[in-house]
Amino acid sequence: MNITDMELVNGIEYRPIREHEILALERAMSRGFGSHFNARSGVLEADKEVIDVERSLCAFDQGEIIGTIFSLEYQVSVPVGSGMPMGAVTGVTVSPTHRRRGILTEMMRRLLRNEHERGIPLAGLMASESIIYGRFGFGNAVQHQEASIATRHSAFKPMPEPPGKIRFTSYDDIKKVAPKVWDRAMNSHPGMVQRLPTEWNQYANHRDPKPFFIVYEEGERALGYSKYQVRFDEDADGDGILPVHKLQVNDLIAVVPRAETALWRFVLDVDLMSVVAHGKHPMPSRLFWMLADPRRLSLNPYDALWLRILDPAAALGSRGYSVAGSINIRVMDDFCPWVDGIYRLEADGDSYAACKRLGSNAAYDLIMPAASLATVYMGAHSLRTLHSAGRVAEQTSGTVELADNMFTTSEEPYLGHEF
Amino acid sequence: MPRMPLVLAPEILYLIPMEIRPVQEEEFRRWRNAVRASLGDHVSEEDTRFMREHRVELDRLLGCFDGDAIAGSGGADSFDMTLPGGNIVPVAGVAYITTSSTHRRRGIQRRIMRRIHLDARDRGDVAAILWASKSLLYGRYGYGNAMPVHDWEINTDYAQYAHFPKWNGRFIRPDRDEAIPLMTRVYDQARLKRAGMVTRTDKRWIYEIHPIHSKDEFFIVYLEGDEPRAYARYGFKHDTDFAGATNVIEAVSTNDASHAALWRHLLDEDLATTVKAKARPMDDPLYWMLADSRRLKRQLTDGIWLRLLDPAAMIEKRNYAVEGALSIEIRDSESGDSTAFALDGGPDGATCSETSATPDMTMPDWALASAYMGTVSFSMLMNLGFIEVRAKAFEAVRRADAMFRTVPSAWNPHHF
Repeated sequence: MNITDMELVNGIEYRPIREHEILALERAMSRGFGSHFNARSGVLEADKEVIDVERSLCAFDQGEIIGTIFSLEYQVSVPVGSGMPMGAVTGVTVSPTHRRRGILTEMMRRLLRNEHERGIPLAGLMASESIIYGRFGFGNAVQHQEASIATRHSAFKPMPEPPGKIRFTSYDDIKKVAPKVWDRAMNSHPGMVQRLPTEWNQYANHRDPKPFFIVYEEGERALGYSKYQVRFDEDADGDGILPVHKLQVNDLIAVVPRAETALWRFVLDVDLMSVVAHGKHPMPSRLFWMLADPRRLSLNPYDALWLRILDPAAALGSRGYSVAGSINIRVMDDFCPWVDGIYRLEADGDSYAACKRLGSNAAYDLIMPAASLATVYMGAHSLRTLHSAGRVAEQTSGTVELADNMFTTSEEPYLGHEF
Repeated sequence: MPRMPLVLAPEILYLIPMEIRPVQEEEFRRWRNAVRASLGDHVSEEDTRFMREHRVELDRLLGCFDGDAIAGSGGADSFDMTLPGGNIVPVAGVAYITTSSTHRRRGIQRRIMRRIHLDARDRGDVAAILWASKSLLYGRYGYGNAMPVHDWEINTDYAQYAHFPKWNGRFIRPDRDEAIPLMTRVYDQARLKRAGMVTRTDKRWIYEIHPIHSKDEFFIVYLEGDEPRAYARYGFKHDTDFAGATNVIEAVSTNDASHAALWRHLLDEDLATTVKAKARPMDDPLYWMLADSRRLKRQLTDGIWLRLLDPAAMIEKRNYAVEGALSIEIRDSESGDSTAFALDGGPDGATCSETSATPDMTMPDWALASAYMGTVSFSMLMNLGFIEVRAKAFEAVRRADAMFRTVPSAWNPHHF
């Protein structure tokens, strides 16, 4: 029987929703996240575009939705490689009436199995709390930072002047320009996901306050863009003389670093603004290194992309590695038992890499749970650090260091999206 | 004809003779008062006497004298610093940099920094390090932001471990005098293995935890058998009678197990609802041990700034994560001179010599200093335009990133 077919476990039915149940899904999700669903908000119409009911999996108690989860399919950028399909897991809620019955575990197990059966090698999510998803084999793989800076202290070091120009643009125009810039920026940022056309369609639907869009161009070529909002908060009494006017950067995406430099200079120099903030700031931060007085930039890192490896051979074989090496890795996984096994990774330190599954009696150099492999996969975190934290064990001396040197990347991992 | 007030252009002010020279014994108190006044403090005679006996090297302290007035100050403490791979080199721990408010904008700081660097080179120091009062100040003298750190704060209700290396030692709570030899032993073991750490002399230990500077300090030492493996110095601030915040002044461990044990202990102290710690390594394993890692609030800040005084020696004395050869041209921020070096190195050592060949990369000294400890990549500095790369040598930048990578990240807990 297909696992997505109707099935009762402890009296709870698990199945995908049907088209006519999207409203019920929205209501259940809103309640799960602690709010009331507003049918007039436009969310329902928007989500109807985005949600693929075939990739939903809800828990029903006597016909009522009491647990929700669904996935979107993204392409995700990996180090020195091309895009890989990733099941983006979202809308994860369980009704307060049905706590502590293993409903989340059951939904997640089925959803990940479904992704695997579709041939998807990776799953990813953004966590409401960082304590939840490690148990399902997700690893904290790419971080963002909450960034903010007083514009008064935002002078740059002497650096080359970007040759291009910045212009404001319209909602209609940005929907055409931004996806092209975004897709090219993905090439240099492992962890970036390709936004879906349906998401871009809704990109300008921001209210409260309405965003501005700017584009950095050299000649006719758009090499970067930003979306930002301005908040005139007359009550927030900044220095006691002038109120705090805050520029909130939603997106600041560049194909080439000089475009990023130009866009930052622009948003930091907008008149009347006393503070510029960016909630999805990359880690590491280029802006930190642009500033003459870097301590003025407040940077608080947080976990952004939690990654789940569903097919280690495909995932490991599809990225590039910084140095050559051959290594046998035992991946422990009792949540997705098909993952559990020993994998041989070979890389020449340039473009060639291959990974295959070995027999269960094969010797191995490293042993780690699936979550640890996911944490180091994008090259943002060190395997040696995980070893120090007790999350990786070494069978062959020196292989933690070797693998650490292989998995690191010169690229700057980034997610940049919210889902 | 109206009389014009006498106003001298800044260029002229530079020419007024002010003497920069080492401080004499009998001038020390006055010098110290001038330094602290510039930093907004008054100091007691006792404190000054204690500092003279336990901390400073008089022949490394400079004053800028305008007649009798002390117009500016600067100096260095002598340290040995561990480099990636374990070699230990002499460095100048630059401190006491002030300019009197009466003598601003006359180039005094620039002249003092130059003199400190020349003196340090004469002594054989291969680098200078400092903690900056402001991050704006020292890039112009060739310093790079080489060892950024995180300041931490965590609510102890959410500080359970999910993963950790096992430990089986025990804790003791020594008093101040008992603690010094135990902490010294831990510190010196840790120092040998950790890039960025510097020597702390016996006298400096006494100075560091003397009641003048740390009157409410607690000490905790973790032992395996009788061997001390980790320690923490911390203060406690009561918010109410039965709740408050632990402020970790310094926590040093010698291996993964003692690190896990020490932090478990600090996070489990009765009454502490919050634990704060400043200047922790960016890749500290604690974050990865916590079940709810987002609860550890981390704030990035610049830690130690590094200035290469003898770049060839610094390049040659560190080890590299992987084998490789590179050539790098460095432009000195103070002298304006450019020198190219050829590096051939790996995990077991390196050689470095001046070269006349076209270098793979050209960069200002502060950029190499920033990347030297591996905390920022050459790729990022190149992306931002601070490093110029010879045509077709982009592969060298990737190679440099792999070679200079340093895990665990360089870190220095010693404040000076």
